[in-house]
Amino acid sequence: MTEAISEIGETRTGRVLFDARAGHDGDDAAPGRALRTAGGPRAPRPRRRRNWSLWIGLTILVTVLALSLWANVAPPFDPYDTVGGRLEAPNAVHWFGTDNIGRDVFTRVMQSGLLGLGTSASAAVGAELIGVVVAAVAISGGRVVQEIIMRFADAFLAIPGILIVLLLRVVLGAGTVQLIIAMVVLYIPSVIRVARGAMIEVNNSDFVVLARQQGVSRARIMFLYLIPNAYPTLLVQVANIASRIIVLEAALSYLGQGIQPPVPSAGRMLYENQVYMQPAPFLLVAPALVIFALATGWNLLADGLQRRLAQRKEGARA
Amino acid sequence: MHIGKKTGERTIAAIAGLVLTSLLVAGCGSAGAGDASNAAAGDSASVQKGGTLVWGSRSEPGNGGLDPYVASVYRSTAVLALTYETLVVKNDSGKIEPALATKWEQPDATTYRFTIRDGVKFSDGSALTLDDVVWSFKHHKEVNGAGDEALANLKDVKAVGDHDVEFTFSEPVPGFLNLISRRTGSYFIVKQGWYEKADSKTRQTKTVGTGPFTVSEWNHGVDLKLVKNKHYWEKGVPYLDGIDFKITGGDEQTLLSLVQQGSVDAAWFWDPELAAQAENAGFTKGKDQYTSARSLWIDPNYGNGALKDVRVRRAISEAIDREQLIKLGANGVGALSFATPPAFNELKKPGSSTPYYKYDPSDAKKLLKQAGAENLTISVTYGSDASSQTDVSILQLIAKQLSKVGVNLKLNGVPYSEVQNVFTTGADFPSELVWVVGTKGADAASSYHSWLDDSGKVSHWQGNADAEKAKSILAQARKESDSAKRAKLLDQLNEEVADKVLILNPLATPLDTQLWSSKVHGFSTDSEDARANLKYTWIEH
Amino acid sequence: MSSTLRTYGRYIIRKLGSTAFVLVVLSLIVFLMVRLVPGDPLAGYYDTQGMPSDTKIAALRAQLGLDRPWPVQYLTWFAALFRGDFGDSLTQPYSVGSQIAKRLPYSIELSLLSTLIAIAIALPLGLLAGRREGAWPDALIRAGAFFAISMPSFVIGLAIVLTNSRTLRLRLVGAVPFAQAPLDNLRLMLAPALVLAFPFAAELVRYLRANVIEDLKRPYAVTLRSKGLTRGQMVSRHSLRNSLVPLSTVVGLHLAALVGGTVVIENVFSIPGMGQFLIQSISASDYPSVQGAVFVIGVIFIVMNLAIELLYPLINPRIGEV
Repeated sequence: MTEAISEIGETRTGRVLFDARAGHDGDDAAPGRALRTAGGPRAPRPRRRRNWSLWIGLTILVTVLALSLWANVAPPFDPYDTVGGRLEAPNAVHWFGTDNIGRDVFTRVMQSGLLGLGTSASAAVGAELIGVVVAAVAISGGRVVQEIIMRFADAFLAIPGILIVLLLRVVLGAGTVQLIIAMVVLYIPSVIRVARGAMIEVNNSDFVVLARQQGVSRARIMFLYLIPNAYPTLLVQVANIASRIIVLEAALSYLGQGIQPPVPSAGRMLYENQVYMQPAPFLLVAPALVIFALATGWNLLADGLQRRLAQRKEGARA
Repeated sequence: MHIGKKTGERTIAAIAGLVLTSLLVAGCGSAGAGDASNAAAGDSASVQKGGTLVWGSRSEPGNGGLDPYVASVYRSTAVLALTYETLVVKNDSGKIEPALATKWEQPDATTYRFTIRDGVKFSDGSALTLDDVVWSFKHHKEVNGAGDEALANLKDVKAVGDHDVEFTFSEPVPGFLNLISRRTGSYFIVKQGWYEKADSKTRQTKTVGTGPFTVSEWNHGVDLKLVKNKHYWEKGVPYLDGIDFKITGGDEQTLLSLVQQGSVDAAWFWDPELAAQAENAGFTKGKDQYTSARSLWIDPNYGNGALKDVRVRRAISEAIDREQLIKLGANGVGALSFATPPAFNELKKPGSSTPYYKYDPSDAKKLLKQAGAENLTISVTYGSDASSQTDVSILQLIAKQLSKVGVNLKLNGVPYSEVQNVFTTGADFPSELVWVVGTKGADAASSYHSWLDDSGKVSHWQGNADAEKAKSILAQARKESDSAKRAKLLDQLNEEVADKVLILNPLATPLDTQLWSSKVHGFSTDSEDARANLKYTWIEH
Repeated sequence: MSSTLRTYGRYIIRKLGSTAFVLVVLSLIVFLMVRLVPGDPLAGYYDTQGMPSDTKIAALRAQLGLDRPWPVQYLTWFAALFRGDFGDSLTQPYSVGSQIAKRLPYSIELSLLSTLIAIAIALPLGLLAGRREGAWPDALIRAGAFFAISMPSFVIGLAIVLTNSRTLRLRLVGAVPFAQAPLDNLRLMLAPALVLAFPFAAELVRYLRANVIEDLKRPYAVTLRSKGLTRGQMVSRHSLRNSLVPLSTVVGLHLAALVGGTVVIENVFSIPGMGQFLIQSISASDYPSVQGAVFVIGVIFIVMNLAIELLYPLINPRIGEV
């Protein structure tokens, strides 16, 4: 029966994969899997399919990056200047039309991709780096430390993400860097839980126990064994979190608390142009597409990475 | 209220369809024609009494709720103006007219005497007494102390005979009648017996005034219901049985949806763009009242004091292309403005001869060069959550215009509550400039009170030589009792302030825009946006 | 068996203990986070033409209790929580508890409704995708799921509202209390619930699909298949049942998260729920309101989690097998 309880304990991990903030990690990491870790060995996969998710995701992200880089290095128009009339419909000169103060929407939308990629990637990586270290400390630190850290993470995860960011925005200020910091803070608890799940097994493995007995320091064990072992799982999570951040930033922008003007940001453009939704709906389509492309790109990438990870594991097992 | 069963089923099917096609449809086509057909019909028809007007609003009364001595934001006072009354009111051309007082005289420079109307009753049916009037003013002074604009110098207010109330001051207060006549101000007549007995929650959620309406119910975030004051002194009005303010909260876009759905009879918008779209949907738009000066308040001492140099300030004023701001940023619904918005009809309006109002980037560059400030970086703080799209567009345009003369203007958007600190606590400015959405004050001179006067909370011009002349003109105007002379002084002050650029006034816009459907008759906007004409409004039903 | 019970008892006690700890931590986090907000709740009392006098400011400050040090304010607040008293709003004439009581039903209703819709969408699609793994229905469903997850829900909401105002002009925006007019209430809630249900359904579809695929690979499934059962029969007779327990867990957790996750959609459809209340309170620096509302949402999430953890060993048939 103790077996059973330890399995229930695993629902925590299961929940990690499905907390509303981090979403879950693609098909193969569905929570049911975590719930069933005690289940028997599975039959080997009959065939290995091409990992479409991975490649499509990468292609989308690289395309956005390239287009955006081009638009930033050699912009067709000054993105801040009035270069056309008010609310011009898409035409040969302004491909996506102009906004209410005559700025070229195409240039602005294209440029926004870089910012979107940059903020999502840096915030996700930042949360990952900090979260992993905290999780490693929790595991190496003994029962009490671990309990406290995990309960703090639990409490934090109980608060809706958008509210945390809204409050942090007010506390930290409105800049882009502050936005990234707020996102990092938001996602640290999710990372802690996933990272802990990934590390705990290694921590109890024979070689770590042996290393500990031979007097290898905690820090060394942390960096030599625990973190490297968690790394593939966390890579998947980075992409996952990045996609969440894209959507969250859009929602924040909609509430007026995303990236601040005049910097072109897709979420911000949705917000600013929504009052023209009826006279000039084309103003909303392009930024919505950018958000959609980035979120899909990251999502597919996460999915693909997850699949590759699973394939590799199966390969090792076979 | 009830949707028929069939319609309900249709709703469900339609929503399912909408979901699928929305994104595609959103991308193409132009707006439907709307139902503007019968807009003009029926205005000559005879008055229909009764019925409830549903008025859509994004906001509900603000902090302090409906307590006439605590609430002071427009969202509150616009409701208070329907439920409480002042002794006198100002009509649209700026003339003082009777309200609760039928006559008034000024026997000498420091004495005012008002004759109170007979037969006035509060909404609870009790009679208005002279004691209520006296108490209302005394309590106002007690609450506001030395900061009370109209009553700071009040020596005494007392009942004289059976009909009159007399005010005596220690020195002349030329703005007195202006100040107490503001419909959306705070010099309301309140029933002493009720107010003193009520707890603060009751004061903030209920009203017992002499106005044409009284509050029956307030569900926060949902609606605010007014019913007609059955005891109103003016015979035959109000025509309406009541007014339901429907509160949409959050996003004004939803208010537009309500208008288009036909769920409201009237609405007021902060955002002029959405108001224009509501007009397209067949609503009648009220006259645009340019009551809101959009200003940039200046702290010359902020940071390294770059804006201490009058040449730099003049350069910035010249580098702002006001015509473009009005045309593009405000979609044409804007006007040149001094610190006193153009809605003060008694004052001169700015024009091309106003110092440093004409767009002149080359002169701006020259001035900056002389001042040795060719690569200047300054910031402007604004409330990002409270600003309309118009504000944000205007700020972005200004930033771009300034960049053309080499001034880098950073936009610092913060939650509005943070900007507000500047006004309440007199906290330091968070940047060189602060974006202020003004409202039309009771008295033109009060447009200057808080930021120019040394006693003003927000003033950062103490000891600055550039501001001395302006301050002395302001002081003169304050003491001048003759309204024509006073207006002249204020005109002079406006010119002086523009010349020294003590404040930047890119433009003025309406504070809000009121619209109503073709079923609504007898309504029009007033120069205070106080919805004073609602008592003469009736609705087809 | 008695040892099983004892173990389960210990498990319950441990969970209850750690949940209580989490709740205290939550209250502290909420309080401190809100306290860090620099805005002045007094600020909203004035606009540029209604500048306050110092007398008025000092009186208000004392009346609102803002002149006391924050640890005192925290303890006062926390102690009152046990009496179910969330304190009074700083800026509006209401008690926080009464506002929450009025607004929470909207958010809960919205969450429940969207959960139902999500399950209704996800069950058939998820099972179908799992059964036809790799085939075109699977590809189509997965693409749809990616779309629903990647598109911010408010964009879809805005698009619906916009399209409606141009075409059918149905009444989509606003809210009516359920008790007052249940049918109208449901009609108005339908569109926002649908919008919220999309990403939720997408997650459930992906989850179900993975479950079905995995289930079909289990040894028992391989045996049954060799006895002649088709994939379709397998799914409807076995995989569906095997997926229901973990699915209910996931639905429960997501539902709990949804109660606070309706902020933006409430804005789009003008529903006076918890989300709008929070946004308004945050922008007004109304500490007690923000604290109270965030705390309640957090508590709902934590308690739902606890319930699921406690029920899980009871409803999971696999426990018996061990």
